Amino acid sequence: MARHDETVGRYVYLTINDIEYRVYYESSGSGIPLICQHTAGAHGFQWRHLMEDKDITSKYQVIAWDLPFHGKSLPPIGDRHWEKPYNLTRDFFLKFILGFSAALKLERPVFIGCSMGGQVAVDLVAHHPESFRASIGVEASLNSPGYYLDQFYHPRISNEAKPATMYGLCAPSSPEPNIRETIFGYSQGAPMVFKGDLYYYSVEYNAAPYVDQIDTSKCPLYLLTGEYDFATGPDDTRALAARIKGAKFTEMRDNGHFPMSENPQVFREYLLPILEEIAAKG
Amino acid sequence: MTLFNAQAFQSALNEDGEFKIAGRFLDGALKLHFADEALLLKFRDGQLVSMSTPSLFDTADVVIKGPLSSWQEFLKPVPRPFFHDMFAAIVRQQFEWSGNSETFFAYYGAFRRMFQIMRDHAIH
Repeated sequence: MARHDETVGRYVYLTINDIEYRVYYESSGSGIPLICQHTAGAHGFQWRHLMEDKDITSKYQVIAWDLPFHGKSLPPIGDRHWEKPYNLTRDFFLKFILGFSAALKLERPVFIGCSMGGQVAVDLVAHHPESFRASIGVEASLNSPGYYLDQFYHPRISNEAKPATMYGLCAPSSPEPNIRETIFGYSQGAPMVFKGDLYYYSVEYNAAPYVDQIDTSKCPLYLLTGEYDFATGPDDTRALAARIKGAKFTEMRDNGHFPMSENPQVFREYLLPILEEIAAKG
Repeated sequence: MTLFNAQAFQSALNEDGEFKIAGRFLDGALKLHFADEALLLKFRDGQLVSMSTPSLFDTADVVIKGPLSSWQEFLKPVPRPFFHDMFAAIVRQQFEWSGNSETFFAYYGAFRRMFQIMRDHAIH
């Protein structure tokens, strides 16, 4: 008898801005939908440890997708994408998440996202609070300028440079095999994707003008940040949380920028109480 | 000033499997400034072939500078946040780098491993 993970994968078709995308996603467990957004330049593999955690999957249906152009979600056939630069925009990002949730008929899912997914967790609460039961921003901040850099997509610099720099975003106490798996994911990305994702993360996203208007009574917002994350440090998230009445921020010891994949055992200790609190509210 | 055991560091670096892969084809020089002192590391075909005090006219492909106290924190077995990695220390602490961007980014993985081995042979 073969040993399988509980996680299963399949494809769904989504049409966004008149272009059809074939989107890969994985699912595990049953209960409240928990939809997971990976970091820039990576794909849904980062959430695989949550998807095998029975303390989570006994109450939640954990769903993790690969954004188009990432992982197993190939570029769309019906678009001459090779003739234009790849940049992830807020318009596309929000439409994708809402469209995915609608396509699967998910009823007010809980959203969790890391890095650019952490930023969009804030954007979702700001612009679509009615669509989510709660939002969890991992490694989120008010903004993160200065990372839309040519060295992340340059013909003279190979795909080895990205995983090498991602290593330093992990905490030194995170297990080495988990760090290596985390950065391996970055070497799998198509050359233009990481920098293109940073267009949202570092150029378009800036919550400062509207963050004060977020109403966490409509959609609770939880914020978690690893102490060794030098891209979005704990003080950056603390500054974000200070501007949002009702937002709950926790600094995570012994973790960096990719807590769900670099140190899932520590991450779950911070995440489980949040998921229990959300589930208790119904 | 002795921050690490130079001989043991060089030997361990040149025997290290990860460095051999990440540093393949590396030819060039790296200059490290520890406050007022400096060290020139020369690489040939992925091996560290010499370490010496640079002369006034020695150039390097990549130069990294930092205060002595920052280097001491950086070289601890488990440094404080943002001293744990050179890129982090450049972005968030008082380290600076200059030189050839192509070399720095192409070989960041090799340099990262090199600093870890330097940390393994640090003298506290």
